[in-house]
Amino acid sequence: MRNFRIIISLASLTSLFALVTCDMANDFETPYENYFIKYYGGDGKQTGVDMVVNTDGTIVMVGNSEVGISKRIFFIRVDPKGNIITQKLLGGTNENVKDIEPTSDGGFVILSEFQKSATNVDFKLIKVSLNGDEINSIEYGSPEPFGDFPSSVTPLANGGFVVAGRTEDIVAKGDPNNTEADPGDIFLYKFSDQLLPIPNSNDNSWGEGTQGLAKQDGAVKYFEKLDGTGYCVAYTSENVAANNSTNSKVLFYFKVPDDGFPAPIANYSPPGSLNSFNTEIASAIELPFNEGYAITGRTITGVGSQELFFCKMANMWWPNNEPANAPRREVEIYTKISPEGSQGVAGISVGAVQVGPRGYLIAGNDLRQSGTTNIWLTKLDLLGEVKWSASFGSDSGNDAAGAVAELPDGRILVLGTMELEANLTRMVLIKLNASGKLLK
Amino acid sequence: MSVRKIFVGLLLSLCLALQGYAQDCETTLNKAVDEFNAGHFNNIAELLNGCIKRGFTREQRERAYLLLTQTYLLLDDPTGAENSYLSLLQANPEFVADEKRDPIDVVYLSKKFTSTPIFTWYLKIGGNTTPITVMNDYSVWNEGSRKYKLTPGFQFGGGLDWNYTDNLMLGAEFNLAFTGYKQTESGFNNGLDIKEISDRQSWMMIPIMAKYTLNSGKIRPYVYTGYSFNILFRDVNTITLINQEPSSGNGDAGQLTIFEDESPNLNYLDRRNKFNGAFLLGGGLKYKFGLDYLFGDIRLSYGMTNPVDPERRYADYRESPFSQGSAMEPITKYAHIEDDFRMHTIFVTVGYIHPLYKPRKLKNARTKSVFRKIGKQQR
Repeated sequence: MRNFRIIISLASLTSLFALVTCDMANDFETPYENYFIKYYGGDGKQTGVDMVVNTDGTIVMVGNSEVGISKRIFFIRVDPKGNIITQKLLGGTNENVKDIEPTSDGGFVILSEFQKSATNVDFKLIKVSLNGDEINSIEYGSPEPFGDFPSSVTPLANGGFVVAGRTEDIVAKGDPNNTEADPGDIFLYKFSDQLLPIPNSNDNSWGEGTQGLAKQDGAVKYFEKLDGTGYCVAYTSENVAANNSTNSKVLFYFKVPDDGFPAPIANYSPPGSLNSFNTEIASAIELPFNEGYAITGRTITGVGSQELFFCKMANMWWPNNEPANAPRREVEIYTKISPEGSQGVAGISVGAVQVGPRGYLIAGNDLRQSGTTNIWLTKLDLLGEVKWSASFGSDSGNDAAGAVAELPDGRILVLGTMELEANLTRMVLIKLNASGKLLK
Repeated sequence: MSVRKIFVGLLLSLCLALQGYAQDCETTLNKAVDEFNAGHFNNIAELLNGCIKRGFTREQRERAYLLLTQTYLLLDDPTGAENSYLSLLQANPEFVADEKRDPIDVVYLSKKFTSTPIFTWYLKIGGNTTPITVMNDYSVWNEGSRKYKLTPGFQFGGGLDWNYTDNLMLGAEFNLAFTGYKQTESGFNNGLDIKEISDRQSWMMIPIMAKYTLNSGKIRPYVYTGYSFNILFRDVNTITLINQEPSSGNGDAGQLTIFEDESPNLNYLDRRNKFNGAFLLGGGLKYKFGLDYLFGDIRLSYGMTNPVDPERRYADYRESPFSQGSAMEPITKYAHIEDDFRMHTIFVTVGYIHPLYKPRKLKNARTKSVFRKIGKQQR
């Protein structure tokens, strides 16, 4: 009996100790609640290009899905934990998606370029519902053999859209600066909410013929002011500032005439060159706090290496009567980032940090010494100082950023492309804490 | 004549001499028994003294000390009797006085002594396998399923039991165990792709157990329960990613192009909780082998802790806060992320037990029952 009592006591003690030290499922965070890495795709290769965070917390992402010779638009909607709600392939078989923006009716408009023929590239706008069901679409562009290379689409207050980009059609549009050395001009095409082209006062499409300077020019993004005034941020290789070198590209922006019809270049608002000496190639432009454009991209220095640049303009809109040679006081922040050990980073996407101390998020592609790229994420404060940086990817694959966004709780979403082993390339969604870490 | 022949000859001679000496002591012992039976108690000790010092076999020594014990009891020399009985237990720690065979006063005396080993040590070796139960599923994919598979492992070690009673003991062990498991994930991407991982762990395991054993018979069953403190000191993972693409590019799964990549051995130790615990339940059979035992044992080690460090599931931010590089490669190259899980290892071992017998006089003699019997006999 005494032995029995001892045995029972010892067994009870052991069990109690085991129970106290036992890990239970709810001792750990709910999976994917706060941070995760998730891949999306099927057959072939899938990339991540752009995303929209909806007010219901779901995330809509677009990229490309390449299977064999077919390349379609990959649309996917996921919940806040990254679980797939719906996924679809859209468009034709030779698409290259560029942008997605929310529309006023709760859906989205997707911009892609496609190879219309062997010598002609046009673009396509597709309106889709929240779940990616196609509502309407239009293919648009200059006639053969002129290519139209879109950069972005901007939804307008009236439900319409403006597509910004570069066109090779420099002759027929009345560009006074067209020369054989001019490989492209700015285009801005306007469409109704039904995706019908809007004509301008010259009975051309709105914005059609918006020319640039005598060198290669292209529109990056169109912005609409509350009063309907339009502004365009563009790049050019023309000598728009007194001291920029030949063949470099600089950014500038200008007010777009009301009907989109191009005015002679002399009547443009003065260009606001961001950097006179290097080639600046902007990838993303946002209005983070409605205070002025935040621009990121890459700057190529004279020796051929590239760095990520970030530029913040002091004013949201370009003053109308600024003299052409006015000092570039509109540039509030201009900084270049070249991390140690990197062969150069190209900024791909920029977003605002609104939760906690305000700042900017930049996602880019970090060229590693191995010759491949990783996804690079960095946070800047309002003065443009780097607060932290993080890198995602492997040394063996080319991993690329697509978009970055801050969530309402301060966490961060990064969309991109991850090149895995076994010939797998997948769209990747990374959810991080506010410090850019895969931690709670 | 070779040296070898001389050596063999000498060895043979020595054996014969020893056998002859033993036979002489057997004669002496028999003579002592005769003396005892004849009631000549006073010279028995002297008669046996020479052989006790250097001639008896273990069995003869046992008989001689029993005879001496009886002799001293009859001579009313309790000290001599106790010393002789203690020597008897040293000769045979498992000697148990039998009421049917031995005089009742010897049985009474025996209740004042015990030779139960205070400590018992053992060595063991065996195999294991490790079923996994998942607490939280993790995957970088949204589709597909994961299955854990058993793989064989092995372990060896030793332990020490403290015998609280003849049946109940507390034990501790030190084991080195090499365990592993496999996981197969399939049905993701296009439903055709497969990922296989093989994880191998090396552990130092320190179990503490309470055991209950039967204490008689040639084969003695035992059971135990306890808790094991497990220290992980090595963890290596290999990941194989298999991408099966329809060759036609149109989704026709009839012809597949297979891309397969296997990772090198990835060190997972830094991703693990190094200190883990497990609830133990086990049992076995001990087979009496002389004064020692051979045993076979089966043990379930029910893992109570998650070996995965949740803060290093994706990356390790301790040393390189800004760039994770290779620390993230299981995910960014091989698309692998770990579940929260428990490891339940089943061990099957065989071993050898050596009780450290310690004949000694009890502080509290268990003589009441013998008293009652003596009383009955006298009535």
